[in-house]
Amino acid sequence: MNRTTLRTLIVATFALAAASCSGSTSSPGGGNGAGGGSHAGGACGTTASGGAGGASSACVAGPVLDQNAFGQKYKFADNELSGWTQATAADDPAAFDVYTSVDDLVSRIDGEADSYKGFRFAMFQDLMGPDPQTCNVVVMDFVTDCLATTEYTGQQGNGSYVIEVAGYDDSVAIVTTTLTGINVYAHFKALYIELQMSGYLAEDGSLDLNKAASAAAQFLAALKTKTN
Amino acid sequence: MATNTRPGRRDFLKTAAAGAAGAMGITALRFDRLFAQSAGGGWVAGMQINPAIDNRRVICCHDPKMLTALPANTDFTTTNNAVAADVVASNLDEMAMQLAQKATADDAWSTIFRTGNAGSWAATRVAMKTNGIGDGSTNRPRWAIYKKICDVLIKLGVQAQNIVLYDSCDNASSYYNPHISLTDTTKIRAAQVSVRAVGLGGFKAVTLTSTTGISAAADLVDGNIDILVNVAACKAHNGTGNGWNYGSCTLCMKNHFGTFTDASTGSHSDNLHVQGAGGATLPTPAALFEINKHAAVLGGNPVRQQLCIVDALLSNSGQCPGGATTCKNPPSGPGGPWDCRTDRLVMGTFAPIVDYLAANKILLDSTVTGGKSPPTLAITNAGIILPMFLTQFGYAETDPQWTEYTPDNVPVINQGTGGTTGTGGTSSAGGSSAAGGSTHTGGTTGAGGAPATGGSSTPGAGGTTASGGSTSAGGSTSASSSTSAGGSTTGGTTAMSSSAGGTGGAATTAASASGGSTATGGTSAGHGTTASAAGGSAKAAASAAKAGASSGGCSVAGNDRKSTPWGAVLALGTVVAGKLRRWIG
Repeated sequence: MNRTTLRTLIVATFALAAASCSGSTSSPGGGNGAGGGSHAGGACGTTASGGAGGASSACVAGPVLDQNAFGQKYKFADNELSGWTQATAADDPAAFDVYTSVDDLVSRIDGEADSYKGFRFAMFQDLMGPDPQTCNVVVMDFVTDCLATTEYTGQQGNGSYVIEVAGYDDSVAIVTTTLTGINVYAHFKALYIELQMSGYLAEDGSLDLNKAASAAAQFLAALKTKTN
Repeated sequence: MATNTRPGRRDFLKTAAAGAAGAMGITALRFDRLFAQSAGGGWVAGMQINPAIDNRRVICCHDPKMLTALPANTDFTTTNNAVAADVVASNLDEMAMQLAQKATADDAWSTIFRTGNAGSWAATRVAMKTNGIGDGSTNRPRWAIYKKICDVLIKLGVQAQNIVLYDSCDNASSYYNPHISLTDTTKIRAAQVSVRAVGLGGFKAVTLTSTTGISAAADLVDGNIDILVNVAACKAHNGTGNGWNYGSCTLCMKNHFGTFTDASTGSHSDNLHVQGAGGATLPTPAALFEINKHAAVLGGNPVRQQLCIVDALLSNSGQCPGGATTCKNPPSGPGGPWDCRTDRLVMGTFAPIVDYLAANKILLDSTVTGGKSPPTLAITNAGIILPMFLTQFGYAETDPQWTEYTPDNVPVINQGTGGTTGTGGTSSAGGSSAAGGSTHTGGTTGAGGAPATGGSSTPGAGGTTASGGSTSAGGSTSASSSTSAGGSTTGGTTAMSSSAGGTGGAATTAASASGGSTATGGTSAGHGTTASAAGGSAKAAASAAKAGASSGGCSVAGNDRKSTPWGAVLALGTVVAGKLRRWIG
């Protein structure tokens, strides 16, 4: 993935979530859809709860975990990705937390927590990589894949993105650049994911997108695996 | 609280750095505002936070050298390590001088900070608001700012153990404590950070009309803190329901959501947040305004919250991913990392106006944020809410005065040096009118500088003096102008507008005073110090010379003055005000 490719920005107008969710209200819930219904409330997924069978267009609920189990499932152990460890409590008292409601999340991100309304659990983990790289990992359980997709679509808006990271289509992951790194937005199954990665300045002060994209790909691959 | 007798805001702002602040000075204050003071119970319409500093005056220093380089990442420690603390300290000194219109940093700081504790600095207690929200990468005020302010307070006589940084909501201790010491002069000299209200007497319930279940630190509520310094990071802010309900920013006023909090939950102040989705139903953030009028913040005598600083070295622009015009939640909100380098510090005494200007001049100006803009709804709602920052406190959009400068173009201080400094006049043979240049001093003051220059062309009497004329600033009197041949009227008028009060009448010297230096006097007069203002400081002289050489703000100021026929009226008002003040006092 060369720099030129990475810098190929496209303007995308997204209208993807709706398609996969259409008809969900009338279709029987999917898979293991335990309890999904109670958390639903978005454009789709209201009937995701329970039920047998599941048409292909139905929303699929994620596994039901408790707060602690969710956090442990998706957090990164030290050096799970080589060179990446969780920030120490001394450096960052909020290095790892799992939130269970919007009101709870307000304590971390203020009133903007409301923008994530509908999540069941939200894990925040701050990781320190090879100096000076950092990555703030946000993994949110939106109960069903449809709701996670809706969150993703709402977040990406109509912006311009560097989309080519690890081969993910822009319907699954988008990447934007920041002054010192990249922000990644993605969704896998019932998970909505954000990665805020910084510390990717090259010696000449420019952004080393290759390195950042490579790291992002590792994180996304690991998270995708964790959803299995 | 707008008055119809004042020129429009645009007329002043367009004069750039030098012109506006000093030019208006205290002159244009309405009498009710000049004299209205809280009896210690919080905001009352028209009150001055500091009688010597116009509430409307806000100083912004733009200096890329405050960062040694773009921080390698957004981690708080890494970010702080990229800050040139000495440059920040030096700039804060200059900003204080600009804010207080004093020629020395010591004079400026001792004007800004006042103790009501029987005049005993040693017994004075200071609380400094910081911001503990988020995590290790969240944008929050840099250490260097607190260190400098603590150094200033300690120099005044405050005891380090009587200074405490706090956030009554989120725990900020981990971010600041490693850099705090009571004795190490390389660190922030203060007590350890108060976690929630532990270091401030615990929580005490407060009664608000706009919401319920709110508490604040007891030492603030009970008046046991004499000085409150509010330092906020420069961040865009969405808001509950994606409504951009707070003027699309979180600056000094919103910072107090960490002073007033929902103590029972040990969490963020949910009850203070506005519900609503914006647009046509955009609700007024009533609690935001109410807590910023509360006695815990604006009570006390002198008023408790004496200084407001916005750390905009690095800011959160609020831009959506990929620059989208819509999105649910920008990644750079209040809990997020900085995403743009803005290289600025902002300082004032009155939070609503500090915030109004910082939001408009930094966060909502994409030329400052490196091309980044918040989403459309943020801009729309800022247009609705930000004006409330003013109207809720009795001000209009024509009131705020923004003085932005770079270190290589520092506005000339408009402190009351009175005409004494003036050399010129007499000796000044013509060209020297250069004098005029210096005069420019007034720059801000509007001292006649500019016009004086004109005089230059006319050797001898006129020109030079002319400057003086302007000087006369003080307008005390036109007298001066008359004296000064050249500069004549223009000078006089100008001066007047700028020089508040002018009672001191620098005017006197006007004749002889070459210059605007005198003009300065005017201002001081406005502050009631004219009498002693004699003799411009070296600083003033230096700046005058510098200004003259660069000619920058000088001519602008002059033009502005020329286009400001209200000057005479304002000056007259000031003279009357000055007399009234002395009479009452």
